[in-house]
Amino acid sequence: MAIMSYGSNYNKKISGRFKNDFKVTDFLEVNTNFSFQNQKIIEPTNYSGMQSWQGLLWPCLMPYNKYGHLYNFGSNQNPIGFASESGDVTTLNYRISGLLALVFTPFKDFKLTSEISSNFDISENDWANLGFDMYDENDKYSYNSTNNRNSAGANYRRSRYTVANLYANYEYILLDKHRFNFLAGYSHEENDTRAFSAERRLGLISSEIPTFAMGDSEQQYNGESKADMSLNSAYARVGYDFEHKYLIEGNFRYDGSSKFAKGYKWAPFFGVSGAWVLSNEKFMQKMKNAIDYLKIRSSWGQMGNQASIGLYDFISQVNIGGRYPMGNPLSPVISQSATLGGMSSLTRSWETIETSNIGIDYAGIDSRLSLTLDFFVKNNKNMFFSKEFPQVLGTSAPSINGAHVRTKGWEISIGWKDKVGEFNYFANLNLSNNTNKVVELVETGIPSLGTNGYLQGYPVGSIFGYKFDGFIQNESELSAHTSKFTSGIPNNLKPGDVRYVDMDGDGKLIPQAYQLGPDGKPTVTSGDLVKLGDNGQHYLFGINLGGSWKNIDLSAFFQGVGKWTVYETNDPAVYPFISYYYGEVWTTAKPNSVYPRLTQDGTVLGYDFQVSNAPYKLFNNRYIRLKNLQIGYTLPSIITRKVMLDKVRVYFSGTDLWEANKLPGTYDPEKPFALQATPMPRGYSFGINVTL
Amino acid sequence: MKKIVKYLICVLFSGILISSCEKSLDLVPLDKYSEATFFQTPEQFKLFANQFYNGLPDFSSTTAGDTYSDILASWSLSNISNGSYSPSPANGLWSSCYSKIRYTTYLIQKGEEVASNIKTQISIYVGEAKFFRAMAYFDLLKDFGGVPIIDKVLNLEDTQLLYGPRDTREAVVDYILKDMDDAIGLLPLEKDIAGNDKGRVSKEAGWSLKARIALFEGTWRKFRNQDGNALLDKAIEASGQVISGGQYQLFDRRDVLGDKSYKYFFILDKVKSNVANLTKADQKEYIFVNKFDNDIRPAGIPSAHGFPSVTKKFADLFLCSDGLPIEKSPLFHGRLTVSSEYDNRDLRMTNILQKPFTQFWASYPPEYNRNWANPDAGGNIFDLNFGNATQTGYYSFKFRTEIAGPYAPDYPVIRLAETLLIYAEAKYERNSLISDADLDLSINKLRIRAGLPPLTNAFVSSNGLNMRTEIRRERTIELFLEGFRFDDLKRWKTAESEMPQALKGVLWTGTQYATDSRWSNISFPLDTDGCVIVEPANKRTFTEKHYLFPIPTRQILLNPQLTQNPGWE
Repeated sequence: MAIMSYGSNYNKKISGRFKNDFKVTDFLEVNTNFSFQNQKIIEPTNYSGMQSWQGLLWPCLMPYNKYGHLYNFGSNQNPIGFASESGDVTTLNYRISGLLALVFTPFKDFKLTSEISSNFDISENDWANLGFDMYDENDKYSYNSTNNRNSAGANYRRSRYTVANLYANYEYILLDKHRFNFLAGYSHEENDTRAFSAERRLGLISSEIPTFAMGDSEQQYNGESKADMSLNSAYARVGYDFEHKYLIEGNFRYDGSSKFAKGYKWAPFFGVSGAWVLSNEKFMQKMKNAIDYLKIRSSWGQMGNQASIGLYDFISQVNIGGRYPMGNPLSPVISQSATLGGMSSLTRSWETIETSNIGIDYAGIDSRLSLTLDFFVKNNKNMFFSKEFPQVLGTSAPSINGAHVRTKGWEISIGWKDKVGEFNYFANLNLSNNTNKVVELVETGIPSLGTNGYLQGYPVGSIFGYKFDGFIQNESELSAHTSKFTSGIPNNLKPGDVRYVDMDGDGKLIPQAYQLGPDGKPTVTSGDLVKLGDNGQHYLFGINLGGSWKNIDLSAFFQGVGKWTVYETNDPAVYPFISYYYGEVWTTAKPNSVYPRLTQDGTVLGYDFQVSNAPYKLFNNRYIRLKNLQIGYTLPSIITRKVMLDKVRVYFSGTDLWEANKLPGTYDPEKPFALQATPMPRGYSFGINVTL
Repeated sequence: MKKIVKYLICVLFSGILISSCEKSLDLVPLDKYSEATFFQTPEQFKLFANQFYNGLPDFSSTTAGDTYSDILASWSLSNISNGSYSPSPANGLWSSCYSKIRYTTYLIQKGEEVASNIKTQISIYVGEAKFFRAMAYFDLLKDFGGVPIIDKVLNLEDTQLLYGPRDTREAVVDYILKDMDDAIGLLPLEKDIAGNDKGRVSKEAGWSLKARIALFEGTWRKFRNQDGNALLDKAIEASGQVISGGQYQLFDRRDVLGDKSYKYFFILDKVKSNVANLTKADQKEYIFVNKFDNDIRPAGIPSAHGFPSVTKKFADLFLCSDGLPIEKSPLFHGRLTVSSEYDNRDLRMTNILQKPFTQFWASYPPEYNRNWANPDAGGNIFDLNFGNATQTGYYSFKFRTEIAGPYAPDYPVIRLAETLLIYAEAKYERNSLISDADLDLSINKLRIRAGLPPLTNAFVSSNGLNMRTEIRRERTIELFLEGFRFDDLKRWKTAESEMPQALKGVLWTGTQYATDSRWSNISFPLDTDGCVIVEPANKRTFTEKHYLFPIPTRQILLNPQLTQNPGWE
């Protein structure tokens, strides 16, 4: 179903899969898996222009003037024009995946698997960017979205991903009690991508046929990019199981990545785990009714990470690009520039993420109750981090293995299912939380106003801001407040503006952290910022409820967050029309308003709306959302049998149907304060399941 | 035997699948050069030098610079202009200049490492790098005074320089001038630059920039009781080289453009932009520009809407056509009507400021565009729309094009007019005296273009004028909106008296403004003379500390050796 009321809105996907395993000889089995996907999307070329203008426009503006032309006010452009008049982009995405595995069993309990799989992804699009005209309220032509520089172009991008894996598995059982399992293997992954683009201006000839082949050959542009990467791994695992009661396992891997410099490509990773299945012990058999299954498990393991870094960061790269018109002013030549990429990262290697875990799995009361409990501590001991150097360096430093972040967390999930007469029902609840802290860093880090990255001793994403002290209500409060400051506040504050606390009492409002020295007094570099929280989501929960009665079934899935500190990011200087300001702005008649006074003075507005714990700025974005609701009805089998069908079920399903949260306005709670975004969609669908 | 065959098959087929992989872990970029193998040919040095041109000042950056001064009033009053700003954690100029310093130094350092047979071929680009490096240090000097001199490409182990103290102002000036002298030695004369390289830095641009720097620092020292003479001599010598070279001429096409020649000079384009069909190729005044092109690199020019208002102080600087200031000239028509003060003035007044109720054209909206088929039609009338077009009653259209985009006037980074002004000022400040011959060689050329009589020593003394005031007046008018005014007030050490004055608009009381019904429903705060006050004097301050900006405080936290400028601690 279309999500937009204007413009092209087409999305069609076809996919297929073929999977087959067959035995060739007594010792060879061949597994194959082949799938394809083919997707076509047509949408406005200027989707982002449409999104941003719909977020920027005042609600009082009309989409069309009374003469039926697209309307614009001042330099504001019309999002409907971007949706429906500025050309479409047609994207074709193809994916072909295949897997071929040969499984040899030369002798009993020994398997040698050799497999190769490949994904080919191709995405191509062609687009036209057409100008559209806008008119004012008197139907006077006022603006063309592209200044008549229509253009068309195409992009092509393909990616080729191949994994080869060779491993052997041997199982050895001794006296039917001791089970040993050995596994060793080697894998190789590689990926290369290539993309190119071409574009021509259309305006000079015609924009009727939006293909760049019809464009102006004097005005053509193209580009290309390509990249590759590879990963090698050797790995082994040994497992031991005693009577399904005591389980122990050790593993080892040695990973190599093309992303690191020679000598830093390879790193070893270890892990051990053990479990005790209490419910399999003899002494537990008497409690069989209450405890069907009970397992205590624990593990310690290392994992490598090399994501989120560049492919060739160990090489200092030269980029070529840019356009500067050198030469005769009437017939200049395009001059490109060579620029250097970032500093190379020569000694960086894998991140090592060490996780210790202890957990319990339980099922009981005739399998009606289930419970899983986990505690974990995760240490990323050599996390990628880019140390801040003085700017006289002239560039930013490359990231190194420079941070140690510790995350502690727990997770609990409880399930209950039962039936009362003909009514079957179930309820599952899961709840988790984790907190992290930067325990070591190659620098201490200097807190700045707003959201910070890594600061020693603080959670990642710590938010610092001023301490809010209410609005200045009148002239005497104004002079009392301003007389306390020698700097850091605007020189033309008025009643209705904000008071922030001068934490260190030096008469200056300074955007540096408030810090006390060992003597209990503010340090020389102390400012007035205090920590207001961190940007992590805490106490995530999910609730799944459902039941069925006779032919009717119902299920609902709720999801939410218990604590999530966010601050308003929409500046009233840019978005003065936000509806929740109305009637809630400070005036002498409304001294207990939510928001400070609004002013054209950008300096004061910036001061009033900077990050602080003011109730209009800082929010706990806790929310609960009905992610999915489904109601189904299965036709009585007496009817369906007559038409040779086993089961026919009709259903209604809805996504994101309801939510409760604490933010002002109608923001999507999962994207707090995102204004220039597609409005929060709610989905409704009806369907039929047919079983032959 | 059968077993062996079985095992062989296993190994063979496993091997076939695995061998389909081709990439090792030793991969290198596929679409980029590696720095280690770049910097081999002159063409590569040229490509690297090209990046510096993209960072030149443009229309918006220098307009912003003038809003710090006393000749513009921005809509959201500038806290730099009124002195109420406090030290901030970051400063864009600081970081962008040190980035420019890194990459110019990179080229210079690579230039020393290349094979000797191409050293001479790349010397021009080394010269360009030194020119741009001097420009970056000069920007730092103007705003912050003495800053750390980084004379090599830093790596992360260079802690002595990374965490070092500031160098003295004098050391920075010496370093800049050394770079300029090296650059001038290496750069080609404008006439020797090949056609497709026009726009690259010339030796004349080198002399002009050197003169600008030497005048800045020479007068800075002179007005702080230090000896600026050696620097003023350098300014005279370097600007004299440009003047005597004769490569450049002031643009004056009153023959075809009439009294509007000066206005159209600043918006010459590749496409038609004036009735006489003159293009960018028809001017020889610009010495060094930030080049734009309608197709390759359109210019962004600040839109008319929201443009800062021009203050009365600036409007009153324009002389009357007899060469006398308005308070002395019998030709001054007074301010009884909204346009009477525009009568009989320096031609530049109506070429920079829009006379009320006269027609103008603009790049936007479309009905304001010039229609060259009927060039006098359309446009709009400047109707003194207070609160929308202007807050002072004065309105500038310098640099505003009359045609729809994409437009592409070049932005003058250095033009002959400035070099002439440097020559005159340096001559005068060197000995508190300037000869009539030197005036004729320099600013009288500008005055002739502006329809004014020449400035002579006799004219000054017989009319009770002050030569310094007249030279400074000429500079302020001619270089309006080109980013000089604030720095000029600082080097003259007059900012402490000029900047704290109220920002004012037109005289209201006793004029058409007060009596005409069009403005009967608006009111302004007025001063005792009845002039509009946009920002009162008691909201403006400029003290000794304001002569230098505070060092960005985060840089001090990172490097405590970096001391804060006085008064900002």
